Amino acid sequence: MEEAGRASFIKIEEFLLATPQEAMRDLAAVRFRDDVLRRVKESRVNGLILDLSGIDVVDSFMGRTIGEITNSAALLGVKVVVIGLRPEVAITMVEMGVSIGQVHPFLNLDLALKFLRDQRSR
Amino acid sequence: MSEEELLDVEIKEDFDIVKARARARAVAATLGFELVDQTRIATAVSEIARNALVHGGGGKMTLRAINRKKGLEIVIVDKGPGIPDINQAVKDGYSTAGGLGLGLGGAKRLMDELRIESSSVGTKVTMRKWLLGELRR
Repeated sequence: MEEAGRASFIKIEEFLLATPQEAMRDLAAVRFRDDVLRRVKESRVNGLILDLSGIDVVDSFMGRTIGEITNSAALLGVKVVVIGLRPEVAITMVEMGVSIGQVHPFLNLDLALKFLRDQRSR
Repeated sequence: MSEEELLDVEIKEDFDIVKARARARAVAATLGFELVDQTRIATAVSEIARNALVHGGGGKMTLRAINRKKGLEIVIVDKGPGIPDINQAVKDGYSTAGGLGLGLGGAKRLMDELRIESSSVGTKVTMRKWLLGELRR
């Protein structure tokens, strides 16, 4: 059964890994968005890794909220990558026409970290 | 779940959207829908249930297994002011709530059938998904 929406935040090197751990009600999604952006600002990271592996439905509301996170974080000056998107969720997003902003998607954390390290050393 | 058995979920607050789509997904899984179809169904329910909450002031979802043709029927009703122009409402990019405007049109693409009946006393959205629907399209 889906619950109210917990999330975890871990700092890896100079990057922030943000992971919603279960389906989020609308209010929780908005709170998560604000929380991520506040932590990006406060922790002075170079990059944000958004792990969406715990999300089983991205509808238009969730899509817009994720887009607000990725676009706003980019405006704050950090590189944003998305990992862990479930294949069935990706298919649904494509069919719906939901876009989550200008973001670099990666299959997993290793590839995302490689990209972010490479960006930093440029 | 026989054809006569109905399963209702009240939609009164935003958490009920999560409940409604989780319930629809669980029933879809029981009926034999694969993961992608379960996700399409859950996502469409999420959109329509949110419409019922935001525009209709809340409502109710009813799930029904269709035995003869093997599928799932989802009916979501609200007692809101209705949709003035349904053709406009299913167009992508049309939004009155400040969203992406993909809700109704998106749900329609995810399901095999989507019918909207709307008047000044409420809206009824009937959606159907057939087992193996993807292979028939």
